[in-house]
Amino acid sequence: MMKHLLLSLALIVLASAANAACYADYKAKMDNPLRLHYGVIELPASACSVGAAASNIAARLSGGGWQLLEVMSVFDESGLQSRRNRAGQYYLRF
Amino acid sequence: MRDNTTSASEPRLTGTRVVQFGILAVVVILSVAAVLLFSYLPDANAFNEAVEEIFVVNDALTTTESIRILEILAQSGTTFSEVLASYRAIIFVLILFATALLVACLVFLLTIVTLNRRIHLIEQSGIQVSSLVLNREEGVVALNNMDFKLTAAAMETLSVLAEARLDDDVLSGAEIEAMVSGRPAVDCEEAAGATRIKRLRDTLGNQMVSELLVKNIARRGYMLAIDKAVIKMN
Repeated sequence: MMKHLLLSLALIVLASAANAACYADYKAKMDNPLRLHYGVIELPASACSVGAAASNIAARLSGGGWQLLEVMSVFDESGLQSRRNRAGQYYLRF
Repeated sequence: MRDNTTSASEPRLTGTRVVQFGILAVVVILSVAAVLLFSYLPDANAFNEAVEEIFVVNDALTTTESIRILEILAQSGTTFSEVLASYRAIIFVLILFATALLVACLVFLLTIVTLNRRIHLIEQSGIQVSSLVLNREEGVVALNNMDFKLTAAAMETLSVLAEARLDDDVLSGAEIEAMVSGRPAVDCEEAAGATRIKRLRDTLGNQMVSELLVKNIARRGYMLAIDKAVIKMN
């Protein structure tokens, strides 16, 4: 069941990537003690703008206990490589 | 309009009111200070919020290393705020001490003022006997720290009066004469006791005035034993 779900998720991801893929980079925090991170996240085409992405990203981050501070920008695959190093372990993590 | 009289209880009343106001003022001022102390010190989160602000505003601070440094900054801020909290406790204890000291000072101040007033009254009321020691063998009576020599008869009269005072008794002249001479009181005359009292007053009063007022300086003469400044001639 789990495997099946993952597979379908991967398929969806691949499918959307095949489309005009949409990504965003953001800043997030976690309290007590304060921890911060910069990450890159993939967005569905329906939320492919700085304004629309915020609620989408916030909901996905809160699953990991993180709180969204700011959506910095929205970009496509061409912007991925330059951000990969900076995002580190938070590159496409959520 | 105020009455043309003064009473001793009046200043004491205003004095206690002053002290109550003073204590109240001290307590109010210092509790306000304590409240300000506790409300104005930043809480532990203030440092975290400042670091968060830096992180959001600066887009350059997104590498893993700089983020790590920001987190360390926030942690050191949190540690510092714990130090501040302990300082706050210490300052609060000091404020309590200050309150206690100021209140004590006020009370002592009032005590000093009342004591001064009382001393002034004592000074005005003349001689105040604080000790009377009778030494029968030497025929000497010590009033406060002044020694007076008495004749045997005057000593006897004074002893009788002192004993009666200890028992809270009032003696008539006849009773005094009876106790000194040893005869029954019905056989004694009132006038004999009165004479004894007169002699005692004469000898004691004479010595007391010469000690306190009209001094005799040997081979030189006589002089008033008082401060020049207190003399006024009308």
